[in-house]
Amino acid sequence: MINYKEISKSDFKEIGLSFVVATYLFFTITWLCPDAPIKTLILEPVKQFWLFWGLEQNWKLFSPEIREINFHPEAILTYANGERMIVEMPRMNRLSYGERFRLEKFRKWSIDSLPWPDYKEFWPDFARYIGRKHYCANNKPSSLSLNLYWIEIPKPTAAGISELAALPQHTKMSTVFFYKYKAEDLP
Amino acid sequence: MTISALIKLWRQFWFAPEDSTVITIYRILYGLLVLQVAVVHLGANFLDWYGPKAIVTLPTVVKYFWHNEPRFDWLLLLPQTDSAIGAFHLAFIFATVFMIIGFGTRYSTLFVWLSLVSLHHQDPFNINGGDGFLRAVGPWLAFSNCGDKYSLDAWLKNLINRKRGRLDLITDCPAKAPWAQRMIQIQLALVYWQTFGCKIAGSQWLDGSAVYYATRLDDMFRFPAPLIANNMFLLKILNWFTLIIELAGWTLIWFKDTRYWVLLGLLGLHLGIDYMINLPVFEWAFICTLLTFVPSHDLTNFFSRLSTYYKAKLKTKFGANSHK
Repeated sequence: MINYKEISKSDFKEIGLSFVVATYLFFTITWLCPDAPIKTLILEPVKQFWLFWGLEQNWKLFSPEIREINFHPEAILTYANGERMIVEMPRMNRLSYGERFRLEKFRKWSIDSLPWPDYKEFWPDFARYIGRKHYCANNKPSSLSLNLYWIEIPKPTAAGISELAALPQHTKMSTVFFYKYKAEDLP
Repeated sequence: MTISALIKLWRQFWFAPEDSTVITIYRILYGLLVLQVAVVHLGANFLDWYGPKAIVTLPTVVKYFWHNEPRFDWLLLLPQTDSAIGAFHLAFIFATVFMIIGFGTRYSTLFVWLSLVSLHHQDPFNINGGDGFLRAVGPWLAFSNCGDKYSLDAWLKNLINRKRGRLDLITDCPAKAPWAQRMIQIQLALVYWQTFGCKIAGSQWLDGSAVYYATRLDDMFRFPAPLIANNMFLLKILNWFTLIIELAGWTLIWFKDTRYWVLLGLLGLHLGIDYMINLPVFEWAFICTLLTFVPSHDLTNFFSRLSTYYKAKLKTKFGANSHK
């Protein structure tokens, strides 16, 4: 039978562990606080260490706002002879339950990262990846454009809400990126 | 309250010895989730994400995400070839299996955590909150006594002691300081703390429309629940329930009297999201971690009652049949 009230005699190990957990919690809680000059000041000495070991964290899950649009990106690959190919990222609502489950990482990347200007430095890599994937030696890819198709989710009103089955299609479009292939991009 | 009383409380919380049943079961669940990521979600596409010709290449990540500063990444030690990266994938899977069965538990758990850190650094764009959470609790699990039970390590240790005739050393497992388990509990409470704070800073959660929008994100549809999703009254109830239960998730969860109600509410929240929204690993990473709040003796009692119940039921069924 374990006596839960019994505490072993304090030793160096306890003191050391207490220091580790208190330090970790102090900096982690500071990391999770809203941005402020004092936060930057406190985190400055440990920032590199935290980032190196992947200790940074952020739990703004479905917050502060949930996006009010639905969208999907689509790439159009143009070959040397003018032929075009539509390369669609896996669209979850068009896949089976099993495929949705398996391809979650593609959803995460293609929805939260790929089409947004904050990630523009990563677009050329994406273009090269698609170019290699759909390479044809006799008819090489010449350019790629990344398009975003989107639509607003209807706002709930006093008159009612938009039912799931009646959500509008992604009918608005904008081109977010255009890439012309160079000789060294392809095999 | 005096300083010595505070010190006593601190020591009691972090270091009063506890049975390791819960943390060892948590190790198995954690390992299964990581295995799901490694095999199902990365599986055949591992090289698309981490290979030398990946969707996002290492030089681009180093320049624009790491900003040319150092990051921990096992993969940097390997030749940047498909076969070397593929071999790393296999090593990651093997280490995860070792962790689940509790073989070289501390080392395999450390390897799994450092591999998660490496993969998240190598491609930070394909991970959801569940992956991030597994990474955040990884080091604490590695330094916990998660291999003391239900593990090959414990079995081998007892086997060796038995062969040496040291029957006095054969134990179920001694109670130890649960400081690492406490860190995992606090990590979960921090998640609810920040997400609650961020939610009440936005307008949708306060006007009750957040769950309406969340259930209409067509890239995340999972199983349909039109009776709920098409009823604004129920969606508003779920909106307020989410806020209340997430508030309780970092406050009332610490009190014995309210803990099980909070755990039940959080379980309902995560199962509900998991049913309607397709975010593999995400909800289950949190659901499994809720287990760390259950004291080992409660869990043991629960399983022993369950086993007594089913044994009695089986006895009635097959006992009755054998008389016929």
